[in-house]
Amino acid sequence: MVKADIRSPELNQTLRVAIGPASFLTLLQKEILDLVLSIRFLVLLMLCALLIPLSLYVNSQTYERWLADYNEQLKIESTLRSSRSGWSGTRPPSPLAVFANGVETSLPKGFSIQPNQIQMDKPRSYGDPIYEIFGRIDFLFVVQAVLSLIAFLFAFDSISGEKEMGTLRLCLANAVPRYKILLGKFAGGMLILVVPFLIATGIGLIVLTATGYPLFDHNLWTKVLLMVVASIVYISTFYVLGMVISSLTHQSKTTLIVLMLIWVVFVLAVPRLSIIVAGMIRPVESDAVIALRKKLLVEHIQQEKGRALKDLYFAKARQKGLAEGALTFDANDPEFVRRRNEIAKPFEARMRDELAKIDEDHQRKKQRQLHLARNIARISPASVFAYVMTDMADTGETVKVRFFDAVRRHYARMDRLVFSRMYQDLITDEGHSWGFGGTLPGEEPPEKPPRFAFRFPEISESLAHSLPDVALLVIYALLFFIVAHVAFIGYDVR
Amino acid sequence: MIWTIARKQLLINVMTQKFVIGFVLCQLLFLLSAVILTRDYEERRASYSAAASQHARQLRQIKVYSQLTITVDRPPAQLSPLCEGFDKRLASEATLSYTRIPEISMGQGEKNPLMVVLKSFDLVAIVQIVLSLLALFFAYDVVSGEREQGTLALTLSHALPRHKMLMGQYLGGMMTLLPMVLVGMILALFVMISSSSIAFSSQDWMRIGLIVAISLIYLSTFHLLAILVSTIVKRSATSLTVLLFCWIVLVVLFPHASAYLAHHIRPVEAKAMVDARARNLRSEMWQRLWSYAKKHPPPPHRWEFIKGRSVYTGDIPYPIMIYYAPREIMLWELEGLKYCLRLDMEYAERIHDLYRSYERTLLRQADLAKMVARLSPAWVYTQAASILAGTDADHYLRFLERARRYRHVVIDYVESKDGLFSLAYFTRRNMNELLTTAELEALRKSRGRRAIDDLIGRGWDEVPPLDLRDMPTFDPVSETIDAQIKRALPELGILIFLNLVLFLLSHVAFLRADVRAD
Repeated sequence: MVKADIRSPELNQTLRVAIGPASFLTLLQKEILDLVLSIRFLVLLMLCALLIPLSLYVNSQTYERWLADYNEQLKIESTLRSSRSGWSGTRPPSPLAVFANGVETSLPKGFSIQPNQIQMDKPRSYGDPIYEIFGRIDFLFVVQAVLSLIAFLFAFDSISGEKEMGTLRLCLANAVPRYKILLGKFAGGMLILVVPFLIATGIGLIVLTATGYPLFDHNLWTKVLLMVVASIVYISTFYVLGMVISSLTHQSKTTLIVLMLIWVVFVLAVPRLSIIVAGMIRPVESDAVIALRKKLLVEHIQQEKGRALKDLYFAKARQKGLAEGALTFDANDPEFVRRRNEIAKPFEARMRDELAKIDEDHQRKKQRQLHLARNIARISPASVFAYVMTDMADTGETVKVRFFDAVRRHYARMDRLVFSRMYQDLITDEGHSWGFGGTLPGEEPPEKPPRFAFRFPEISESLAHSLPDVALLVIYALLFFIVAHVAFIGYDVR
Repeated sequence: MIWTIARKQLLINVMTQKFVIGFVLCQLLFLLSAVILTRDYEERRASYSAAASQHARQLRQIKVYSQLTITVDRPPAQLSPLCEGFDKRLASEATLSYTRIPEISMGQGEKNPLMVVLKSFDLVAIVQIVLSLLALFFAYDVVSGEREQGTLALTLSHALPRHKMLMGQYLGGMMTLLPMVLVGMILALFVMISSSSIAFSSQDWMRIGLIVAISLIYLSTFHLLAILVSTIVKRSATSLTVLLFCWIVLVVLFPHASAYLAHHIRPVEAKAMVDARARNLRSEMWQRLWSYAKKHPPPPHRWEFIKGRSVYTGDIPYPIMIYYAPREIMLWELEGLKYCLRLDMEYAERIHDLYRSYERTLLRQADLAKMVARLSPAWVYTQAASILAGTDADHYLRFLERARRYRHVVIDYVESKDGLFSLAYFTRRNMNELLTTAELEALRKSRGRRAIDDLIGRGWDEVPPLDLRDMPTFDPVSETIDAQIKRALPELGILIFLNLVLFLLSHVAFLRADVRAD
């Protein structure tokens, strides 16, 4: 058996609890002293103080680079001929990507459009392959993976460990209700976990503002505050889960191994597997396949249109007295243009409809797969937390969907204003092919087509979107606490 | 005596709940990952064969040498379910032509933004993360726990040398880890070989054996680390905390931190800058082509005598395909081709040099990051395993290098067929059968337009494709096992060296340890 050292401050505290009037504050004080004096606290302090400010600083440097890149791109776009504006667009980097990288690195930097075609640029990560190889560390990662592990480390012996030491019995020999002990342990442990975390985050934020990060622009700080609150809820979920397992097992070693396995499943396995499993249940064709299908469709309808227009073009050339076998487009003949439109417009409308249908269909399938993956991932608090954080940071799935939607809407606007006023006819005859293209006479597009602009969701919007997930985290914490309580009531402390 | 201690340690480990839970969970993870990744491999294999046959079909349809743009495909590595490495993240094909030299390119980006911790969920990753944690848990209290219980003093009161005791405890721990790895691997291999698209050769079996051996050496590193810490530290709880801290630093942080360090010490210029320079070179080339075209205007011609002509841009004599044209036009195009294609190929080399030097800075940066990351056994282990599985970044670079060399082979082949700076590049006619514009005009006057049509023919549709059967084929030959072992040797050496050092250190610490319980 372990012989407790009578001189150790922990035991002194326990004895005080056992002997003195067992108020909640005494219990709290005991827990805090117990943990502060352990080496665990030192480890926590070191990891927090090192990782959080450093990751924030490094990521803000990266953000600066992205921003410079974005501004450069905007400058290039503004020097384009005014008629070409709107044919391409860029996406601004989210400033909060400093806290959670999310999709920021994997989303396209921008896009360019042509009639019947949307071409996405390369993602931002394309420029820094080294991070592709070694991965990135951000605030989200530190809380999600490292602090959850530390929360387990703080909680694993809270019940089973004290039982082994024999101090739990001593405590309960007094007239202390069990729920008070549990609450005291929870409050003490959380205080010890949260204070270093908050201090490190504070230092990190000071470093950020000192290096010129726009923390106070556009209400960024409210989102940061919400992220910190979500982190505390997340950490408490893991801490309480640690207490659950600790009051279900009788040896602290067993507690620890069970907790580590839970950690592996929640933090490592579920987020990865949810995507793979969702991909298997609801397979979606890859973007390349869809692009190819759209290209084939465009070619097919173009050919049909060309066959329908052939006679008109030949007749026009004969009428103008051109050489045998020639064909032409005549912009000065309103009758010709009217008849050309009469034949061509139905084909163009069909092409527009079918392309939109392919896109819509594909998008709906992708959306459903994503929903499924998200729902599967909700088994694990770690992925719920990641969803909350990335939604808050404007680097989540919603921003991804929003960006692609914005691009499609922009294309639709350009189509209405510009592309539908252009003609592009391809006519094939006996091995020759002729292409005609330009602006339709009488339907000049606007001088300066609208630029693409991407706006991040309003704070109320991201809040509304992530509220269910935050609620889910709180529910997890409460649920775990209830289970811990039930388990602790039935716990054999001998 | 060693064996008695080992057996005792093994029994202590195996009889606990933690062993049962750990064992069952590990096997489940292994099984799940094997099933999912094998299916994933089957899909990639299928899309590889589809792409390869599609590219082969394209090659069988080409009618002139100018169309010879070849896409070579990289087959997915058969061992990728064991260790995914870069197999999915780097491009699975490379496209090359006379004026196009393949550069490094990525496959599809990471689809899941939540996957910050694990890049992949293969068997090697499970060993790297989950089993290394278990290795710590089985050993964190081997010495400190026994001291706390008082059994250590009891055991050592026998005439038992301390090194034997240590050896016994080490072997006992390893014997507990061995079945976890072996059973998991056997389960996974069963899943893999039951798939129709996986067939292991004897060399593959050797590679698998080596990966298992390296996995054990890696786990032994963490096991020894746990023994060392548990010897130095007085209390088991402290030993556990210290070990978990080491684990976070070694397994999770070091590989990431090394990337940041390398990025700051050896910054690489943005890819966009290189792209911009390449674009500038391209436009410079087009300037030169235009000025050449201005100096060499086409002879007077009539379009009705030209059929099936496709070019880059109207007035530059840089033809792609011409079905029929009068002789002087063909001569003009041919003269132009000799200048334009040569210039284009020269600029392709110059642009390639730009990317080549960019690639070199990337590699230097990655080398530095690798050097730093080697301080973490977890990185060393995955690196060694991915080299053996044929899924590391170098493997892709080799593929790329072979594709670049293959481009020269193709160019030499076309030159041997006299298809590069000659008429055969863009047409199937030869000079003697072509008439001049004047002759064609005379013919039309005397015998009418029908005769011209009969002479010229109907168009490209009736031309049979080129016979390229004797063209050397691209062989995406996989590396031999000897070469792989040679490349993995440094990593293997580091792991073994670490084991030895840790064992010696634990021995020294154990010799000096006070074995009495408090």
